[in-house]
Amino acid sequence: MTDLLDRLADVNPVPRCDPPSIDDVWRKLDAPADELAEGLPHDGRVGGRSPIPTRRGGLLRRGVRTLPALAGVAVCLVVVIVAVTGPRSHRAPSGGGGGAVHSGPGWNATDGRGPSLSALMAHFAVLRRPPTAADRAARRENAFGVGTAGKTEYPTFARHAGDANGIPIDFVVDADHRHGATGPVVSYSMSIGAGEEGLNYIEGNYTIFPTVVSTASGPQSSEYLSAVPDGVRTVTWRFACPTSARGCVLPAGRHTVSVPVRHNLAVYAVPRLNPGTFDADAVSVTWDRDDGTSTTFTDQNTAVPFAGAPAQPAGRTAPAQRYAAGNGPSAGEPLTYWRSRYGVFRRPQDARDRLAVAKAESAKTAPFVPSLTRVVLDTDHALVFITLGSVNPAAGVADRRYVATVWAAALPTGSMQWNDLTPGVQQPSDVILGSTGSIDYSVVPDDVTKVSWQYKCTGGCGEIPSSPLMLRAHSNVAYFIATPSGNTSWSVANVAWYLRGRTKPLRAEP
Amino acid sequence: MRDVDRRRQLELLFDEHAAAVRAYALRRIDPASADDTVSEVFVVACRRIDEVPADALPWLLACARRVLANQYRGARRRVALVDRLSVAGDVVTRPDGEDREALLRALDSLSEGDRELLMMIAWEGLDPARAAAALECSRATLAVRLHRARRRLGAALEEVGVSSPITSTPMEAVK
Repeated sequence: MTDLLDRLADVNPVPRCDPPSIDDVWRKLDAPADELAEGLPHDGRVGGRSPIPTRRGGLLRRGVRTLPALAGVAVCLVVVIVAVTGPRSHRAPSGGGGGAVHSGPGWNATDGRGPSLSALMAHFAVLRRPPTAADRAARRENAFGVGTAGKTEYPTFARHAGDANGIPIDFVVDADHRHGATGPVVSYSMSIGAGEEGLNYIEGNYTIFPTVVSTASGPQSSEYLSAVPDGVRTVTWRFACPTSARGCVLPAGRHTVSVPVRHNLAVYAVPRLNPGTFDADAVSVTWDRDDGTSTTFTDQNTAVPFAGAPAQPAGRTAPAQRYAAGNGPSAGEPLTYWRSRYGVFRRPQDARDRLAVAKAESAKTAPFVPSLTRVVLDTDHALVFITLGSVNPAAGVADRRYVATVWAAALPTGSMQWNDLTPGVQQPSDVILGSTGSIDYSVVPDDVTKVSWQYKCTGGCGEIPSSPLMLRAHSNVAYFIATPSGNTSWSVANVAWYLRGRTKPLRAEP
Repeated sequence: MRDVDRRRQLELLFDEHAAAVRAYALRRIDPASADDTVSEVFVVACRRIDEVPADALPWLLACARRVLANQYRGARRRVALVDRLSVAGDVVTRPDGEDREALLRALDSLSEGDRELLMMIAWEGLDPARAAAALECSRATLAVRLHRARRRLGAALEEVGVSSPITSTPMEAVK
């Protein structure tokens, strides 16, 4: 006779099943970003209550002893109710917690997306600490742009890491949305805000090699700064002057500087740098860790602190100068130039890039043979990618110069077009999708966080918005799928690029 | 423990046990809620990773049991087991027709404690020691409870007209 338990086992409704995705776990762990940002404890317990209740005693035995606990619970309930129903001015921007956060800790090196919030917070203790008034002020300071509804866009949260030479330095975390500003959150990005509005802007994507920041007004001063992950106690920078540079200023006249790390930040203040002089370049960086180990980086383009994380170059000029018309790489720029400005070139090649390489190589009209190819946009309808081609391929590696070309392939038709990637604020390009509309896109450097386009169309505009369209740039591209309802023509005007720390956007030349 | 280590450990835990936890949940709740339960369980595990024992599955199932209990309480839903399982659709196989349904209805007529105990052993495949850990009781207690649960299940089966073998003693029940 069959045992009852065996018979029961035979009717097991789910004998086996596939494991679910861990994405949902990361999403839930990432979700309380604003709780963390606002200083609630992050010890895995909500309101001090264990998710697994402890064994209960008898009511009488618990009696009086539980009264203080009950009072505490009542207070917690009131706090929760107030928190839920009260003003939400401190909360993250909409969509920040509800979207599908890109899974897992660490950077995904294959798709060029940024890290998840948990991955960021896992590396930088300064992001995990409770916020202070200075942090809240930093969040306001690092707001940018004016949204479509006249609203200021705030970062998810910010941490004020310190001041050096009077220059405030903030860690700023933003959510990246899948479809510009409105889609679900797919990843997060972090930047380091330092300096004053319109100048001294710096976006430090996980800097290893230090960047120079200078004040423009008041007593002039500069500082070298670098973001450093947890576990690094001291950073040592070795500087050298470019051979062709005149008046190169070494920090404190020394070639080697050791800087203690505080709040994930290594900062070395320099009393004064004369305008027009060359700042000394750091040629090597050494991280000395708490556990006694050390790592030395000698190539700023290959130095990545974590798998897939982009390295940050040294030395940037102010955005107003960088994006001025005509101030660009028309005659070719070193590879470091492109890698320092377009994060897409700092990630490893993946399968999509190889597909794009094949497409670019098959185009006989290409101006230069592509040396480096990276996809910036891959939809069901279009593939947009950038290639770097050397203008002097016979030169030595160190002397080669590259121009960038933006390619767009319409997948349904197979048609391809290419344009030079020129500096400055650009009108969007488009990939015509036949009668269904077009994909309008614009390739932007790392420090452009959003772009604004004003569509103009007359009749049959379909889903083409009439108000200015604000799009978040992601993976060096901002795009919009324009779907008119009938035969009509439309154009884009009033193009603006928004950079963090700048209230006023940079606008395209009329 | 650093957060990055905690998450790395969670990934290992998830790889090893997520399927079992999901199956546990699927046997008790609809698929959508089951996936939600799984993620809840591993969120708890991440936050309490230091407390997860080396043999993690009973701990995780105990956690899943609590999460499900909260869900039941919260939604105030109490649907018959057969109906709950039928919601699962493609994951439910029905090879035995009426006998199978009778067995499930008999199981559903038991108290929650008896039912959970029988399912933990027959469906989750835990041996008595691990089932005791999952149900947070001693092994001796579990032996007695299991003996009684089997007897009650047999009685319930006879009530619906299906013969059942009731032969075990408490010690046999845990052998």
